[in-house]
Amino acid sequence: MRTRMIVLSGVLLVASAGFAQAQDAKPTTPQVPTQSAAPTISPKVGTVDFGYRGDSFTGDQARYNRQRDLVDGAFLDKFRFSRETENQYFRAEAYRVGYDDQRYLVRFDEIGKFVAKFDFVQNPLYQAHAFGLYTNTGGGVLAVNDAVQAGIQNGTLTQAQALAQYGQNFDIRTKRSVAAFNAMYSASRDLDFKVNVRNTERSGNNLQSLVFGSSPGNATVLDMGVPQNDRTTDVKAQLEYANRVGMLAVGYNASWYNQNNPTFKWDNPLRLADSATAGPAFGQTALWPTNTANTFNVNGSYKLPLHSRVMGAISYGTWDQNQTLLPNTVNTALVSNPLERPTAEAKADITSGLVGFSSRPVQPVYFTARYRYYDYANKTPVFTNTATVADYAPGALEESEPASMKRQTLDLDGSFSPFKYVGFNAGYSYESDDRTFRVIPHNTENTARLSIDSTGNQYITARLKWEYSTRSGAADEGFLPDSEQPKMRQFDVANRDRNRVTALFTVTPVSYFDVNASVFDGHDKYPDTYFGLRDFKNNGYTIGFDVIPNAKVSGGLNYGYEKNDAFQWSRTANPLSATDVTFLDPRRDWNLTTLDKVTTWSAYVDCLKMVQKTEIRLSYDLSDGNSNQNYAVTANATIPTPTPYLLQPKNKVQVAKLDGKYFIRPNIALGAAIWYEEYSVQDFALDPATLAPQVLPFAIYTGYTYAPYKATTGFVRVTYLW
Amino acid sequence: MGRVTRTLGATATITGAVAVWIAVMATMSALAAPRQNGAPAAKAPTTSATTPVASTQAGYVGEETCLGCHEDKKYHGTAHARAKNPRTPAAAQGCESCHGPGQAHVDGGGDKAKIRNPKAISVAESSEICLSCHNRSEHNNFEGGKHESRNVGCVTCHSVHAPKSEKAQLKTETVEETCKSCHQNVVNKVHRSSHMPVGTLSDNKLECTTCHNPHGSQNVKMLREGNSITEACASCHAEKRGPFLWEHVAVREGCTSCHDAHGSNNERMLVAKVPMLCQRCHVSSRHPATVYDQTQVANKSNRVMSRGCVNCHSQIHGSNHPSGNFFLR
Repeated sequence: MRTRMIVLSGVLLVASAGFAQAQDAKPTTPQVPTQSAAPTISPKVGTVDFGYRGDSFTGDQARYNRQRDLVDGAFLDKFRFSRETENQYFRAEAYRVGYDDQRYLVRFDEIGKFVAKFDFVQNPLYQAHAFGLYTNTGGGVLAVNDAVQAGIQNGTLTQAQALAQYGQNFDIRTKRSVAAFNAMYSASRDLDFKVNVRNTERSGNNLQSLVFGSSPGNATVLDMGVPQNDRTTDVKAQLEYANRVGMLAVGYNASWYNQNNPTFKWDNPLRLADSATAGPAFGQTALWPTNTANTFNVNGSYKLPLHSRVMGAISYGTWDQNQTLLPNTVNTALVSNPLERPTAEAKADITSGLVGFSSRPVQPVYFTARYRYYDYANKTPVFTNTATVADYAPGALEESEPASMKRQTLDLDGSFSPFKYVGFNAGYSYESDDRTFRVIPHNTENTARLSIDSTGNQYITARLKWEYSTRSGAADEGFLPDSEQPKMRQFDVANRDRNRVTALFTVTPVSYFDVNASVFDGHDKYPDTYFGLRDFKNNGYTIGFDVIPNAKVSGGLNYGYEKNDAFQWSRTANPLSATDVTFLDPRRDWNLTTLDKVTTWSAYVDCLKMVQKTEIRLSYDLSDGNSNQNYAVTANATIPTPTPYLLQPKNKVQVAKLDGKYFIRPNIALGAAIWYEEYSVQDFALDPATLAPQVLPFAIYTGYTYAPYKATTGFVRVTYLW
Repeated sequence: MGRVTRTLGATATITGAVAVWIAVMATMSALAAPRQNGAPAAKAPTTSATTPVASTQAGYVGEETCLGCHEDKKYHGTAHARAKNPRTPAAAQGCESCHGPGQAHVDGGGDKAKIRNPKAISVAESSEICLSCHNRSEHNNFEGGKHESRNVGCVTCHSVHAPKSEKAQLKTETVEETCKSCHQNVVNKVHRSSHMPVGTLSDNKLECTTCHNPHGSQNVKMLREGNSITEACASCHAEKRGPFLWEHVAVREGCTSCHDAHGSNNERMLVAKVPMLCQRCHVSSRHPATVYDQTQVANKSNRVMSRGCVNCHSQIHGSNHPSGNFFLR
């Protein structure tokens, strides 16, 4: 409701200003300036499509829709209207009016003085048609019929029977509605004041699963659509002064994320009464907590002689979150350990800065230097607690890890262009990172790069870049959890040698035809990693062409191939104890090679008025990916040889579109379009055949799977221009 | 010995190809028209916003004279033509705001060497023309940025006289088409099965420029918002901003440790399938280091079926529950 009010207010505010001004504006007598610009009055431009859409599909309708609303019905789309006079500019746009993925945009300019824009967009996310035991009773609560809970608890009902008798259909989908208002007032030629307000509401339910513990009966994964009801309001204000010499801007950003359901409760279908050993009757967890962010920022730049410029920016911000903490457990059969504080008291101070200098003292020479500083200082007090989840007996005292990080980066780049069409570039970067609670608390990374760019030539554009970086830091295994293998190194911070080459070419032998190609090859090695990701390769290429013989015909084709090859190492073992030392046994090591390959095709042909009064557009897109996960063990392994997957993951998405228009009059066109989409998939973890029973050992799923679909959507429409 | 020869051969071939390419470019450069280093620089507009004046200043001939020969180079109908905006060429010297004074060019019978033509000067020089006005807000960080350092200039992507896009005066119809001229492999990712609604296949609900500022930014990767990757993502996904009582430190390091924001074939745009992704960082005893092979699939283990680890550890971005140290709550 509030969003609709904001939308209505914003549209009325901007539109009324525009129309009122337009009504009041006296027609300007066209002048014939002796030396001035041509008249700035431009004709009205308007276009709108309206018609009917219908589709037929087989398979997963939710995945076909995904982030669109393709429900059958009449539609009004691509409404665009603009009007410009010497003093004002007005534009309005509307897309997919009345559907869940609709969008509206209104803009009004008092030229040279004031700009106001309002934008409203809805983004749906349709995840699945689902089936489950839960009923949403509101307020962040999912309930199960008491008969189910009693029946399963008492052994008179199986989980499968319960689902069959009491299950109900529901959709797992969310919708994000974003309303944004931007205004800029130009007090003078050099001074602007800007305001931006954005409100984002999210509603619906999100696929999430929860458990009650680890013992049999409590380790049942419960898949459900967790209610989403939150709002984010962002405000930005900035005062900016800029002239030919420099720029200075001062700004303030604030963001409030408001969680309307901070607590989520759900019934345990397996029990009606709390038990100390067999689990609770219902569970409770904390959803995303309400939080705020505030940032002050100043940035500026100044022009110096010899085509040089210095720039700087500094910002200071805070992130805060002080949600009331829930009790350790709501299981009345257990003792809920007292909390050491009632609220989260989570807070972080963020300081960042940037200083840069660039110069082109003489034409062929250019260099730039940038120093960047980023400090995320987590000020959340350490939280100590003995966790209790369902049947977990009070375990070890755990301490939280309020992670902080600090990053400093120095980038130096220089280029030399001795010839008009060629530039040689060299660069060096140094990065120093400090972080808390990580196995490598400090590391540095040195990067060298060389590139050659051949540009400005109408026949050939070519770019070649090589980059090598090495990241290193000493490990402190004291920061690994007690149960973790001491030689584990997390790949995001581990020592790493990275080598990358990219090249791209565009050859345009004649003005209406070009061939483009690119090649990339990257290799990340983690030399000091024993457990974890040890090696990662990424390479591929693209090749294509575009042909535009005249304004009436154009076409193109592009093929792309990409391969990722990852190698990781692990050890399967029990915790180390006096009687069990498998934790230390290298014969229990295993490794996994993941090979992902994706091929992509894109093609298009546009024939615009090649046949009189007719526009035809044809496009085809294909993305075909497959993955191979292969386990291996050491030669003298004491663990079973892994069995290969029967269904290695694959998926293919094809989209073909044909769109035609015939102008029966210069301002009216009859059109039709047809879209064909096909999605084929196989996946060992999300295959419908495997998850179809929904009730599996230690899980009650919702039916969210990777299922194929084929869909054909047809449109008939009238396009009107004025 | 033979293997070494083949390796050296490949290197020699590539080096030779690059050398030939440079030599060709050098030759073409030498044969091309000389750079217009001597072209007269445009003077800073000094006139008021409402009275475009051109010919009263020495060396300027006025827009009507320019359009007399170059009628196809009108820019009217674009933002540059809004004379009421004192920052536009129309409010200053018109065509000569960017191309420099035209008197010498006219007197020389259209001598191309006597007028500044962005096509005939270096990319950097042509960008300087644009940056003389576009030096604030969106464009403030272009100088010294990644694109500028690689000789990508304003005219690489934008057209003043013949734009094809509805907004931003691009040389192509959409932002995606512009970006893919150099970043085709990245644009291809958006077409994969798990992606945000970016690009033409998603009706351009989002575009590359929703997250990135191609003109440069204060953030890494030319991200528009924030000062880190996590801050940029949290500008829309504020629920994951935290801070949380129990942090998943990989999230603080950067969202791209686990997600590919451009698109992926894995669930939730992850860079790898779960549980394998998690096992790249977690090798502790018991189930984190279990081999989740076909045997586990056949047994329908809830640690590999559906969404694997996240079936139980669902608060994986961070937890605010007192018992959330393992993100079960």
